Amino acid sequence: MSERFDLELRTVEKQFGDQTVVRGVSFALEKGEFLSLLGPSGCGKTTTLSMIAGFEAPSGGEILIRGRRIDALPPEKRDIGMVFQNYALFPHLTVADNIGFGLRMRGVRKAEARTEVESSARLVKVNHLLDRYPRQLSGGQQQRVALARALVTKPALVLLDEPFGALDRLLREELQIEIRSLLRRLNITTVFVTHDQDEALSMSDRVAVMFDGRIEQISTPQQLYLSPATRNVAGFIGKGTFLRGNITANGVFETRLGAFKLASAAAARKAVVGDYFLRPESVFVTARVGQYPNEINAEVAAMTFLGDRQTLIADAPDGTRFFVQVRHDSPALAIGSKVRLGWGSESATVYQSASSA
Amino acid sequence: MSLRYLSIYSAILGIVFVFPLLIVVAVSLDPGDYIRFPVSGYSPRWYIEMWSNQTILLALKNSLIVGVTSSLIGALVAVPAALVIARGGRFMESVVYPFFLSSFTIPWLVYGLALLFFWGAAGLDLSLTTLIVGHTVIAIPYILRVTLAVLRGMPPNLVRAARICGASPWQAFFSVTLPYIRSGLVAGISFAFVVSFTNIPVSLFITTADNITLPIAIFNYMVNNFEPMVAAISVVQVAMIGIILLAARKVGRVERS
Amino acid sequence: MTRSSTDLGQLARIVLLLPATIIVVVGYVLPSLVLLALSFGIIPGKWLLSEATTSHYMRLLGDIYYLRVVGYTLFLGIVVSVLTAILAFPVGYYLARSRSRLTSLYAVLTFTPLAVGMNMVTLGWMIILGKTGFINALLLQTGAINDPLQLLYGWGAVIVAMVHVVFTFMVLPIEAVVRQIDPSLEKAARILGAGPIRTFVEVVLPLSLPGIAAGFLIVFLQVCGAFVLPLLLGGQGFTLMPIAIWEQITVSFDKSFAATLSVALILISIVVMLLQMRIMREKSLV
Ligand SMILES: Nc1ncnc2c1ncn2[C@@H]1O[C@H](COP(=O)(O)OP(=O)(O)OP(=O)(O)O)[C@@H](O)[C@H]1O
Ligand SMILES: [Mg+2]
Repeated sequence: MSERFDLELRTVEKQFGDQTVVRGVSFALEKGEFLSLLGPSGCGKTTTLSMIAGFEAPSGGEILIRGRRIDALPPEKRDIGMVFQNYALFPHLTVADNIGFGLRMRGVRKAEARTEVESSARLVKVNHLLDRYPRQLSGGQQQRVALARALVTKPALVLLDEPFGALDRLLREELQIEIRSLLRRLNITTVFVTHDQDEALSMSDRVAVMFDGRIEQISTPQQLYLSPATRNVAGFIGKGTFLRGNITANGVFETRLGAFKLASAAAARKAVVGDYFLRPESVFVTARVGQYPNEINAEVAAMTFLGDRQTLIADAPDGTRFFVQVRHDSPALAIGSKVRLGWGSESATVYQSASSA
Repeated sequence: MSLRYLSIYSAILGIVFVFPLLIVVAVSLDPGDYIRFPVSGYSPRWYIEMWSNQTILLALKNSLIVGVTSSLIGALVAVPAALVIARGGRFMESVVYPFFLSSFTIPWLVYGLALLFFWGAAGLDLSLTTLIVGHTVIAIPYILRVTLAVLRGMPPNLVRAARICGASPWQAFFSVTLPYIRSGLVAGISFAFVVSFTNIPVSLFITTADNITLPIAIFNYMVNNFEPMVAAISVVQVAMIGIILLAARKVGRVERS
Repeated sequence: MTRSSTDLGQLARIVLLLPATIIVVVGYVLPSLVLLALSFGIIPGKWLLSEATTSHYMRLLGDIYYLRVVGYTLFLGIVVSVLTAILAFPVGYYLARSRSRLTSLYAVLTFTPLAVGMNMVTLGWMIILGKTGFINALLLQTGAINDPLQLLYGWGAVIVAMVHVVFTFMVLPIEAVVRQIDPSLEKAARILGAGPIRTFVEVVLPLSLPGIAAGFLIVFLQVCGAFVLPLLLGGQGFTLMPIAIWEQITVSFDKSFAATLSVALILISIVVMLLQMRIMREKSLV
């Protein structure tokens, strides 16, 4: 029935003792889709991956691969490839034997295995290292070998658990691009775990953001950034300013800093206590009072120059910190100088507080 | 502290410690009928005569059988136990592991005595088998300790990686875990062998003329007839230990360059 | 139900633990219980006919001869432990700190007694200290003495050889603990004006105490349980607890009293261990 999905999770739960670590996680991946599980440390990403791999048994829910329930299968029968956080290469085996391990376990004949190993190694460009031992490899090379080992059996699904965690930034970016295009070329369904939002946004078809065992939003990277579904997601992805307050009758959000106009959709939810959220690129420095529907005065706290962009950090009178994206070539403002900030009504999102629901 | 003085001190102590062993070697070459110093001459007399001594030959054979069997059985039972204990858990840490180590704390002579009474109460005749049981009990803690130390340092993801690559639990054990612990395990087994091969107190009460071990034979000689042959036998015993330890090192060496 | 599927099931755990458990229960626990029963006069196999009695313990506590044997055993344990700690500390410190290639040679030298067995070491010292042995031969030849000295048999010979045998057990924990002391601590103390001796007494020694204590425990237990070496080097009338036990079996044929002495020896070991654990715990609270 659901064989159009390579991987499907249905309200998967996991408890350790009386602690619930994964709560009602559901998603379905089509063939070739690349999904990132993104979230802060301890939110249950590795646990979710471990249940898919079969290292942990779910406490509830179902896991299906190509329409077949696999919760009861041991890991070796699931047809999954996996790259571990610290690669977990077998220290006593050469690169060739590491890559060929899965073939040997499946009883593939030696000569045939050798060709498979070589072609896998070529895919990830480690074919010149086949006779080395893992300890003789650099971090990036180990990473590649681990990937070759995961791919050599042509699995239905590949799981990557923070595979770039131990690499420096340049190498990490290089490998991200390379591995992404390789997986796309092979059209392999992938679940990728990370707590690095840049990584998740740049590589994924879809991103599932997890907090405290729950997926709070699952959508394309763009949607995730442009319309975060919850306050948690908004705060975790990118920068921004939260203003606490409540919506009053006439479509106005009242905060300690003043009353701000809302776009109609948001205004419809009346008498709500919550957070008013602004992205840095929706806020502007203005010279002329009254240019924007919403305006405040602030004091420059810092300017951070990042090459391709520049962020102005300014504090409102009550101490609320505003981030404003400015052109990277705009002149630096003196710290302590006064600025006027403004934004349009439609660029704000309001998140209802849990307590006011 | 100046390391140079410490180095000289350590060297002197080292010489003092090896000296008694060299003296034994010297005496073993004395063709005379009793042990004396300086030696009356050098000849391989006792090294030749010991091979026609039936008791010594039997004792040597028994000791090899007991040492090899007990250390191998010890490994066979200690490694599975170590696999379970390494997964942790309060009960394992505070009950199971101390239970297996408890034979460390009892003096060997007392343990030998307990075995004597026990086999008597059980109505079993003393034999190589009863001896092997005792030596296996004292081998287990040595093997368990090293194996566990290695297993605890093993990244848990290695076995998981093997499983997801298609290995059954058995395959994962033989193709990943066992190679990983091999050098530690070999060290533990060879140490257990040496302990068995040199042990007097445990065996003392539970050996008879039939299941006598080499150290017990040497002990009897030292108590009853103090002739250079006992030195020759001791030297042969140490040489065999040396050979076994060297062989174990070769087997235990990890080939990852 | 929440266990992970690559973890071992309850059944697998039991199966894996079973063989070792059987051997330890049959080969160790049951024999120990038989020993304990015998010390109370209960003869295994004749449970019904024998009656429990504490008379053997009363005899042990009432007989000045055996109390003295217990005292000698403890005394030897303390003397050897202290001497070994003093002699072994510099070696352990050296092995931990030196980067010289010689260290592995020294390590091998100090570890030899462990690998060659008690009989070899005992034999070596018998030959060195004996009437026709190495030292007497040397002294006679140089004319320092006219009649051979009585070096063998007695406390001196036993203590010297015993220190030799247990040396490794002291060096290992000391080396391990010194390795964990940051060498810059010593440099810091020196810069702050402490001389080498003050630095040692106030920095290195207190920080090494756990290692020394661990070594102390093992050495003490080894000495209390030692049999071959004190028997052969101590000579006639030099009786420690293991020797007394052996005599009960081979000379007096009194199994029950041998069992009682054995239980007493085990109790001493346990008390020493508990004491040491207690001291270490208080130390770590500081
Ligand atoms: N075997 C276990 N027993 C008990 N609790 C566990 C176990 N494994 C994980 N947990 C708990 O489950 C929670 C989620 O752990 P998990 O490893 O899935 O987090 P994560 O999202 O991968 O975090 P990180 O980014 O730090 O890797 C944590 O609170 C952790 O302490
Ligand atoms: Mg994780």
